[in-house]
Amino acid sequence: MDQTATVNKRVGDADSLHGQTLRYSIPHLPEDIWCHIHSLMPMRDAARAACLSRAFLRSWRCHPNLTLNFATLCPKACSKELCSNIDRILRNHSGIGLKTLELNLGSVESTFPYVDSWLQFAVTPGIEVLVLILYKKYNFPCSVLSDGVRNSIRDLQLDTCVFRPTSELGPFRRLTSMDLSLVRITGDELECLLSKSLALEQLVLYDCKEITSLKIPCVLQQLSCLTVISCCRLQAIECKSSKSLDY
Amino acid sequence: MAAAEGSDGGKMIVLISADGQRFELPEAAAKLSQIVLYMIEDGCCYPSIPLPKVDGVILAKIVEYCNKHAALSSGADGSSDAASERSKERELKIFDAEFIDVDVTTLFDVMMAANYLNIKGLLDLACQRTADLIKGKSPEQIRQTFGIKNDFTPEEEAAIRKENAWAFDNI
Repeated sequence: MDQTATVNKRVGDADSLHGQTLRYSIPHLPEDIWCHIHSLMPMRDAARAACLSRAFLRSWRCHPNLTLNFATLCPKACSKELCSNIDRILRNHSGIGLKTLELNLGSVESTFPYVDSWLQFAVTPGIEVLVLILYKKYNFPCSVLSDGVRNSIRDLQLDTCVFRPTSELGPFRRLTSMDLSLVRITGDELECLLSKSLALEQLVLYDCKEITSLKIPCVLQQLSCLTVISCCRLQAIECKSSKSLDY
Repeated sequence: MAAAEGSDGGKMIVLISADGQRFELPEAAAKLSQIVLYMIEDGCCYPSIPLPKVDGVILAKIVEYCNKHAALSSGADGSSDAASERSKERELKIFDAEFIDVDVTTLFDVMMAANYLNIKGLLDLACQRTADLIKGKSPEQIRQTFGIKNDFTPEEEAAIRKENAWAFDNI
């Protein structure tokens, strides 16, 4: 980013001498290093840092980790702001380089009509971690899980939605962890999904009421941890995977 | 470098700083720098490796970091049980935290040297420390602390602040 040897005109006279001395003594960091540092900051700090300079604003427009939830975006506990804040952040994001998306609608109804477009925009090839807490009637669009997305995603966490993966959906090459909570998915649909997730190491199912039987396909050689909680209609778990599992 | 092997037993590498200071360190420690590693592999490391971009004060810090990390890297002393691994990890964590607790100028000098020498662990440590120092600060405080020039017009700055107003509560 910019060398800061020049005096910032907006610093008052009383501060300028001190500021100038400081600036002369601090080494100049290249933009790519600042960009990396910026990417390590949590959402609120990163968003404030966007106001530092043009270079930081550019870096914010491709911030790799977006945490879009009530606690981060609505510190004044005003639910009206959640929808407009999420929408503004995504609209202004370049859509490039997003690695982690955490979207929690927090049951705020005003957000519901926008979810499709937000997901279509933000879930792009290269994404590694997807954490979505949606709403119970929301039908998660499988079209979001494109070839590129399925090639990069490592961690998929879906909470409160309907998920109907079809047999046409291709393989997930890097998916190692999947967590489905309060998700409407049948045992057959899940089995089909699992048979395409050969790298899966960890599976958590919480309160998925439509699952009556769970078959772990034999092709899941890496699966080592299976957690099933409160799936009240689940009668039987059949495990064909050769690896021993921790239940 | 494992004490058991003895620093006199293993190969030693000599680094020369920009101001001519000489630092001798075990090869295993020197190899934490990708640049030095390549020079060792290419046989360009004798009698010494000049590092014209790194000042002696900073190179002393870098050498301290590499010595500690090489000495405590996994399996260096042949013990590999889980308990001893955990204890080494703890020791390194404490060392790193104390090592990087320096003023901003030193922090940035160390970061630039780690970038130049390509020592990933140290670069990550310095970048994370900078990110941590920024936490909870206003843009004015960040600019002041890190010497960042504001090149926005007042209108542009007001617009981006408005766009990110949610991030400014309690600051």
